[in-house]
Amino acid sequence: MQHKKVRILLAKIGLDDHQRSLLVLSKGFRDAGFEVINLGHFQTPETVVASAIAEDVNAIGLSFHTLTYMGWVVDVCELLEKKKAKNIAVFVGGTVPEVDDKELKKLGVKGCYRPGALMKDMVEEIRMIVLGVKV
Amino acid sequence: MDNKEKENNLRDEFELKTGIKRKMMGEEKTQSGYAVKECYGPDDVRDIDFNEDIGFPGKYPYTRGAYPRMYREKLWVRGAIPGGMMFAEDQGKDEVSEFKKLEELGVIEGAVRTSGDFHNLATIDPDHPLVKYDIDNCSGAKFALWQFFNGHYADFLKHYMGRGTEGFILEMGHAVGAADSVEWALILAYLETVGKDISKMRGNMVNDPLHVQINNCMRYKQPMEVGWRISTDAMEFAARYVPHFRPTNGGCAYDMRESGINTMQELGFRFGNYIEYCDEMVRRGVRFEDFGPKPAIALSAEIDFFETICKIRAARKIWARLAKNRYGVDPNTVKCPPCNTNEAGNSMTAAQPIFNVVRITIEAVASVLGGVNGMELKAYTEAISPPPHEASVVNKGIESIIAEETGLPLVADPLGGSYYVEWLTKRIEEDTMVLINQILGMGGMREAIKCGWVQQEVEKGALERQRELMELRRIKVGENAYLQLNDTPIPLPMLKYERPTVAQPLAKHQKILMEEWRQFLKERDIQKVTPALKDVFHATKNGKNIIRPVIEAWKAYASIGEIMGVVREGLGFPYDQFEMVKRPDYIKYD
Repeated sequence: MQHKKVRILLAKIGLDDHQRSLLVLSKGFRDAGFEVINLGHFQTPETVVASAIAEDVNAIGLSFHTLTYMGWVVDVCELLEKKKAKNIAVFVGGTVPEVDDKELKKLGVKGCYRPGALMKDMVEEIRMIVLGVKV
Repeated sequence: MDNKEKENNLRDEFELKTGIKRKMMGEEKTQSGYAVKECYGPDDVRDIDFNEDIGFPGKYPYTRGAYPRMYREKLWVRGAIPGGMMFAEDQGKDEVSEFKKLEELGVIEGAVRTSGDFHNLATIDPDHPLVKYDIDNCSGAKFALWQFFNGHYADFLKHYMGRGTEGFILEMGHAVGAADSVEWALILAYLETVGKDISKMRGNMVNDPLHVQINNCMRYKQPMEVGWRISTDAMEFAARYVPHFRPTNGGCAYDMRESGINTMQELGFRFGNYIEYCDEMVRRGVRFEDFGPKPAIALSAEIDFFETICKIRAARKIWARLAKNRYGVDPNTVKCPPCNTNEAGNSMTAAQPIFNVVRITIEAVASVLGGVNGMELKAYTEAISPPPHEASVVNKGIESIIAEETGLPLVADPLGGSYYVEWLTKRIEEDTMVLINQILGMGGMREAIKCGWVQQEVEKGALERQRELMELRRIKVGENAYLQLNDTPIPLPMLKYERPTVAQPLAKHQKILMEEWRQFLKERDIQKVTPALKDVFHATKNGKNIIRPVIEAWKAYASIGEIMGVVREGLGFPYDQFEMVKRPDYIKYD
């Protein structure tokens, strides 16, 4: 049986302009065999969800370097629900404190990654969650 | 292979059996890649001339310090960003008393840095679609002069930003060129409104519009021409009317370094920017003597101890060489600019913040041994959140112990004459000059940016830094090695703040700020705003210095997004660089 690939859209929402994360994640995920669409920074929830649907991705990766990320994640999850695209798995990373994990999981976020997370571990987990396979 | 396996592969059988550590892990190179010897001696410094390369502090080439008596005359200035107030539990009521607490503690000693709220850095208004949840999340959201006299920030802004003519040194630390200059004009507008003489204003601003074009952060899509124009107009305005104010740091080396480049690139790109600004001022008729010595050399204090010390020494040397050879000035007749450091945020880890206290201390000691005139210590929470009050206490303790207990300040440049330090200083200087000449050969930093070469170097550096960590060629204790130390978490006080939640994604202080924005719009007289903005537009379009019209626009209660929007249009760019907001109908140019 042929497995599909992880097709992930990466983005930064709002005014957070720290771009190094998207650069490193893009490279790391591509090296791991994911298809990566790097939307870049200064996105809104609307542009992220619209692009995710248009690009037929099965995962969205949002990177944050601020403490005000929660509202943006709420908006993305609500919009995915409204557009009947809840099948797209949402992953969040960056300065996301552990204390927020429960709330994020309740929203439907599938994984949270913090500074020090290993690329290998992230790739394995995302692949498992999105495709249901361990490679 | 995970990190534990990789770590084991680097240890030999003896180490694994006995637990006795034989060697360092990681590559045996400096952070920037110098493959250094095990020991240095006289042969390594034969090409170094005492008078030409080392000298004494306060004299050409200034390797050993900007002024003769160094710390016996004046200790380093302690910089601090009053962070955390935006999230303090009694947010909205207590910014001034928190600020005063920091002053009493000595964390703030007659000098303070501002940082920018995101919309300030982007020079857009608080109701822009990209700002929604990112409002007031940093160090004071400013949008109009109105706030100095109304709203919950009024006392704070007056106390924090309004004392520049009373000897209180304000560093505008937005770093983003346009954001610094337009906010400086706001402060000048406030000072004139309350009857102060702006020629007496002291302080400095980062104001480097070029570095944001190459970092992988802080650009906010501001076109280079827009940042260049308002920033250089501010530099000229300062030279003519606000002579005690340092209108740029000549190149925000810190931010560039944080993007992933090495020491030589940090200095090379910094001086590349500095040369652009000096050349522009000379072209406008400002003498090098009246501008060149003003920009403080602001560097990153990285975790590589000796590279940091030698970089600081080399930086002053390079300035002296440029002053003498490029601008034809005898460096002994002008003051060497101060050299400051800002500790490397990327050197801090999220795991085990107590280890960051060690890193903060090491970087501070390196800064002092390099002979800095000012330094900003990072908080142990750097990789996690803005600092709690306790972090300021820790840093004041570190800095006071260095000043009072160690004997370090007694002797200027105590490492001067060390074979290794002189060898490394010289190598850094030479390799940086090669890079500077390469940039000049491309037509200067602006041309090098326009053709994308600098950005490519930054991107290569960022990816290489990540690879070094993944391949354990560079070790970060608690992050990619020695992970067992994290099994015993050592809690430190963290910032208490109103957390955005799913139910309340906007915190109380954010809602207050937005209410005040709406109140400001209702209260101001649009009949005064429109002509003031028209003046800004025409001054921009016709090549005049725009700082005076911008000051008047602030006084007329124009907002930050409106002022910079018309500057953008005056230079032929869209009103909103993100193209999500159109120019309002009441702003007309005819």
